[in-house]
Amino acid sequence: MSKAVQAALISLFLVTATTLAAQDSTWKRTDSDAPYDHRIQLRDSAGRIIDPGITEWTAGSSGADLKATCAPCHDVEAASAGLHGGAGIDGRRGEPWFLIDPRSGTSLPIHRRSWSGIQLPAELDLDESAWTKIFGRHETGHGSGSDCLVCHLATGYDFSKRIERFDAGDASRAPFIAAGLLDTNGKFDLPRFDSEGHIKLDLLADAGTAACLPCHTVRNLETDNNPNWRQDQWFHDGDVHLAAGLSCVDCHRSGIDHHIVRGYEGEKHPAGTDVSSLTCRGCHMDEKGGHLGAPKPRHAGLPPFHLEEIHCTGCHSGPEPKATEIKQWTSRAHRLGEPSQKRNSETPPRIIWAGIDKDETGKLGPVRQSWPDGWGLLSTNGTVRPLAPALLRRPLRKSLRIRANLREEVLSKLGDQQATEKIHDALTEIGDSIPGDEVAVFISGGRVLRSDGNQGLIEIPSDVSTAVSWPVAHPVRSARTSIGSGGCIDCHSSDSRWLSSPIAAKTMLPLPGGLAVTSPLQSNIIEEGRWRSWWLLFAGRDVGKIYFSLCTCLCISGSLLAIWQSLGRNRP
Amino acid sequence: MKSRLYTVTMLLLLVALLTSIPGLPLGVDLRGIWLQAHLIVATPLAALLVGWIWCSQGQIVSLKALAWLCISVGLASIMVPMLGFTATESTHLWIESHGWLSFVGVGLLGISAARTASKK
Repeated sequence: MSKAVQAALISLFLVTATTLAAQDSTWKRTDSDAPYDHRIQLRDSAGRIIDPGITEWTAGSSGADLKATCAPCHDVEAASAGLHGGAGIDGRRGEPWFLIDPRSGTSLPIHRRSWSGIQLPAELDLDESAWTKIFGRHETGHGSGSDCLVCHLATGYDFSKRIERFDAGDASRAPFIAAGLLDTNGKFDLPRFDSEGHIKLDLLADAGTAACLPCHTVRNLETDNNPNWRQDQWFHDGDVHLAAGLSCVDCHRSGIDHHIVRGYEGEKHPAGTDVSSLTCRGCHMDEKGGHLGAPKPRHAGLPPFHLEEIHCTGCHSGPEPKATEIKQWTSRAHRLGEPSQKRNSETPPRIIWAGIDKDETGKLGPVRQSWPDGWGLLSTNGTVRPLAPALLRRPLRKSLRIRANLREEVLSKLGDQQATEKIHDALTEIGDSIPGDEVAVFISGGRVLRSDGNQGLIEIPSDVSTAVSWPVAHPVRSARTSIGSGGCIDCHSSDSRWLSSPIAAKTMLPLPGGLAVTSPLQSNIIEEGRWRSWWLLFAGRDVGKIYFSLCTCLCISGSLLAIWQSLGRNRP
Repeated sequence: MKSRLYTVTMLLLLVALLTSIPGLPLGVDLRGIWLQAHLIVATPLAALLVGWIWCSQGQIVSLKALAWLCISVGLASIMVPMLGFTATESTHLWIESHGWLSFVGVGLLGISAARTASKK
């Protein structure tokens, strides 16, 4: 090959490579801040365009596929993963999901992520299809349940229909039915399509707060001081950022990879991006005013180590602390968004706002807490593993005659009696129904109980009954309603009972013996002795301020006078 | 009586100095039990300082008067964040000023005492 040909080939290669490298992406982009008018054609899983007039889509048959529909323009593989899609690093513990089974009284924290104290799907015998049926409703980007519309369709997405379809095991059609494109008989809403099968969808990168709230609502229920929470519900204030006009994704940002920034301090973003400017501190404590010119707090009079030892959320997030625990509902745990007359303050799981706790870095922040309920097996080496509800149905039906709801049905038979005998019978039956040497146990109220072999129950030590807690970040309260707005005595006084108020587990059935009761002070989250000594000192804080101010004035004036006099003495 | 008062004042100054040692590294403020101890010592010390400064008017040499002034201004600098006149972030500076001024004041007191002793 001559040198001229070699040079020509190298040049051709370089030109081609440069041209390809110049393309940022193979995906279509408008690169405009203005929303793109989505008039799209639906596609099947093979990427073929569907004629909505011909395709009749029934459960189980192949039909429109959302991933394939979006794929010509968007990197759906990347978008379906990411932190929001369940991929990426586990990071700081988040809200677990709850496996609820009223028939067995099971309420167990579970998640795909490996967070301590939280069961993994395989540990409770949940395969992919069982998982999707139970939890697919709030899983946006994983497996067959991948749904772009739930977050990006700004109008017309009916979340309750999504829940309904997942309950019916109809995960693949759920996005289309919830978006109103398809009815449950498999017929498309033809008037919405043009003659070429295009449909206009109001799809936005940021579809607003309403797109996030179906899965991320938290609602306060009653406290001992406020049993009329239903009546007072309309009176509560939401998140101050939302009230100010911000959208969730203004802080919880992501690219197409959907590694949505969680926004906690020290967060390691999977993409390696520095996301520190999207934390509370990043916006509010930045010298330049942070994103969108967030107001910089003065925290006048607050000793600076408070900011080092307490997360911003410690004072600014969650419900206003009360002297009693505050029960809460969350979207994912309590199926908020689904119209129901049955949801009440006793609906499991019992989640409470539990004051403050220390995170992995030792910093204090607010947490929610829940205690596991259910049944398990105690192995010979002393470990307890919770049992999947499917394994409990037969023994519980046989021993306790449970049809639909263990708690309600057993309570109705008990009257004022305790449930020791009933639980003992159930434990015996469960033990007999499962082969092996393991012993059946009952998990509730922060305790693990086993049969004593004499119609009684004995408690055994195990971490499986320990409360799981996870950090609270929202709703963010305004500065004037935060802890400390009332002065140091919000925390440093005998009146700040929320630090010492007991946070108690609750058994699903009445049992003898004490419950796991704790408080931030009892848990040694805050050292009780030091806290008490501080509030004793703070009792005289105002007097102290006057006293020290007076002493300062007298000392300075006295010193100046002394200098004046000494200078006078030294003059010739 | 006067010398006893002076001894107690000096002793408390020394204890205040010792209890402030855990807060010495820059950017680390005194906190916890040491801060409590410092405050407990500081409470009678402030009154003793007032008493001492005003009782010994006309007898103090310039160096000692300057030392008392340093300590007094140090006391004033801790009052600024305590009374909420500054933002938390600048509080570090005021606390450090309090520390350094007090150290300088105690140091000057020491020099003054040494000079007095050498004259005798």
